[in-house]
Amino acid sequence: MACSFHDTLHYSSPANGGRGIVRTGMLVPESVELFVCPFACGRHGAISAVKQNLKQRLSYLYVNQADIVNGYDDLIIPAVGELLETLQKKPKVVLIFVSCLDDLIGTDHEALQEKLEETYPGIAFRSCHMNPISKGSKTPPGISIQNNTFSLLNKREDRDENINSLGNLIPVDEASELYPFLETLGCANLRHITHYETFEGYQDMAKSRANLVITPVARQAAEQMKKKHGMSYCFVPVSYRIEQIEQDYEHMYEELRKPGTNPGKMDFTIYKEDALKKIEEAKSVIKDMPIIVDASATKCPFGLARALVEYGFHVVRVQAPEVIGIDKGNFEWLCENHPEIEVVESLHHKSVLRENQIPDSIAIGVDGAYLAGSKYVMDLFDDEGMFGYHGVSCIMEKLAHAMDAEVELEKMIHEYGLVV
Amino acid sequence: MAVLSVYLSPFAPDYSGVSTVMFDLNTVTAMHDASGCTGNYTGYDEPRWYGSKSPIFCSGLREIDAILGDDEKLIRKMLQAAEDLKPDLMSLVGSPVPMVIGSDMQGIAEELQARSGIPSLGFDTTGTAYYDKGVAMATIALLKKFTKKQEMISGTVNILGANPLDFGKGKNLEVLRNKIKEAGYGITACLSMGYNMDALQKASSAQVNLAVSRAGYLIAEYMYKTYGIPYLCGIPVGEKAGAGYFELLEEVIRTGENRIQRSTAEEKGEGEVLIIGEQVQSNALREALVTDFGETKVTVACIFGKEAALSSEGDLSLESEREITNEINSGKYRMIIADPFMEQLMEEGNKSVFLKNALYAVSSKVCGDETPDMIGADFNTWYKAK
Repeated sequence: MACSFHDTLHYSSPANGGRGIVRTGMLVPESVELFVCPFACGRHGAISAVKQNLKQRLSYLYVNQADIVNGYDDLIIPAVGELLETLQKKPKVVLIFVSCLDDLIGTDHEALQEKLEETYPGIAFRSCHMNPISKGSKTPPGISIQNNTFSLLNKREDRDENINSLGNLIPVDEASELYPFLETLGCANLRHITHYETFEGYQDMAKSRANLVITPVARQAAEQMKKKHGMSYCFVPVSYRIEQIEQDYEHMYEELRKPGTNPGKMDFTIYKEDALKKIEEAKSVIKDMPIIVDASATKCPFGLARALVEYGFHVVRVQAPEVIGIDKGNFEWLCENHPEIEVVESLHHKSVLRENQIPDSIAIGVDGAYLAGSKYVMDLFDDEGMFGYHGVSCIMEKLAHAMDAEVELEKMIHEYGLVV
Repeated sequence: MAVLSVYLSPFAPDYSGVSTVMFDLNTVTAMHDASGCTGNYTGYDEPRWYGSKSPIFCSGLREIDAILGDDEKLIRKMLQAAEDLKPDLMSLVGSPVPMVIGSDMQGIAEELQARSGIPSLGFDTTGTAYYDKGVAMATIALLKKFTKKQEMISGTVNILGANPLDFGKGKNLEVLRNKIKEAGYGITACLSMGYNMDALQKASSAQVNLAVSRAGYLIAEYMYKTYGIPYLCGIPVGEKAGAGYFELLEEVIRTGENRIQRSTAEEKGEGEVLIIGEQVQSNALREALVTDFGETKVTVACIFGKEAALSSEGDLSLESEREITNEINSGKYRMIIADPFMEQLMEEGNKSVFLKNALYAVSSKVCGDETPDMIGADFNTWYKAK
């Protein structure tokens, strides 16, 4: 196992990318997005939005070189007016997105937002950034869009016992033990942004007493909500390791129970036993088949690989663009205990050659499947829907069925509609 | 002047055009951007990307590099990749951020070449111009670098301006190549799609250039001035119009003079048919409608820019979604041929027949199946079926 990553030219495989900030921003009910940028910057987001049937909420103000030199702040206000006249239904929120170059020209976004809200009363505006140039900073686009999304919740006094789930684009699967667990803590409703069709309804999320953050991109947003709403939060990234899940529930019990209360602890036995049973079933089906774990499937590919190795699966490769902070411990554990596992840097320039193909393998994640030429893919993207023991049971079921049919990978990637 | 676009997706940009030209060659090419510009190209502007091993990369530009103007980091990454991949050529492709900070892509490329000994090119693309400019810019730069003037070989032609943003994966282009061969001509180079360095270097030996797109026209003009090769600008769309195209080719060979395929329609100006798209392809469709189907009023509306030399009277350049919408709903047209994405611009009550001609530079892979087979009689079959 090569225990270092290199700063090279980046290869962009056809399976590279994510759901994108356009789609994340669209989670805000009754919102539209206006991108203010050179036309080129908007192409991938727009085409992807067409594929996801979201384009009707996405518009562009194309700026040219002269506009950039002169500053385009003043152009945005009339453009918003023109956009509002065109739209059949008046939005409640307009997200104004700028691109990388805006970081270098000093647009005064606070003043712009004030002017917009003054000019178009009854509409909330946010300046958002589609600026991958800020990757590596504290606020790259995936994080700033979460901050903007949840900054739209207005402070309110009427609070209840419920909890919000932040950061995950798709709610945790409703069959997860997470829900009965939260009920034991008095939370009957784990609120998620997708539950709301109106902006007014979305404001219910400001009633919750706490936030549960299961993906790192929403940690800053949770911090900001703590300051603004006095809402505590608990960060529990998705894990597929039974031992870690046990600790996570202990941690959640301490952090999410109402202060001063001491509710009875939930018995997770049936969930844990189901997960363990499904692990054995999956092993009996796929046996020694080589497994590739890739970062398109999960935020912590080294964590998932570690879990699989601990369960006795034959992991041969982990593929990732980098090691993120919360996965570092797992990476180091694998380096120390399983140096035979290959690490493929998906962005490394040599990845273009797609050397060392492993056709007879199961790839967990499409990017891993593409570089390895895997015949079989376990369809998991960004941990969507996964959490806790039920998450383990789900991926084991998927793994057990991964070899039912060879994958049509190009079609699968196309259907994902990924955006770099 | 900033332009609002509510419904249509942005069209393919110049840096994608450059990259499509580099795709076939043994290069190390880097788009100097953070990731999104490269993602535009690899995800939505290059139909050949899936399964390819074309070494076109992203430089991974970060804020601190832009602020400090750290070109050395880019050069180091390029040299490292060159060591591993052994390219014949390196190229650097600009994007909006290098434009804003004033990066000298050509200057950095010269530095790269001096340090590596590998021929290198730099392109000051900005993301504020369309793909065809990029295709022409890159092909001309390659010709300047690698193609010396040489003796003409009779009966040979180059295809110029072939690129996936006009021809998708190249089905129509393949048919065109076969037609050219069937007509007895040898193809020296098909620039810049389906070619290699050897073909590029021999390109100046062709007797005639066939410009099949606006980019092709710009390249043909350069090659005419530099190598003295005359050109025919057009595409043999339609049975009779296609035959006319090959008669024009004979004429170019006989006279050594350039020819541009133009409609023979008598009536100009307001038309009953509106073709919206790339100029050379739209001209060829018009030629087929006029020659094979007797249409007399056909207007071409260019959406990527209009070359005066390729235009007929009354042709339009539509430079915004508003202008496209207004023209589509002007009430002047019985039939509109355009990319499927533009159908949504038709207002209620607009009774024009809308024929879909998918343009990769507009709708990318979303409407890939809706590009008609258009070379020669294939067009007649498609048009009659519609």
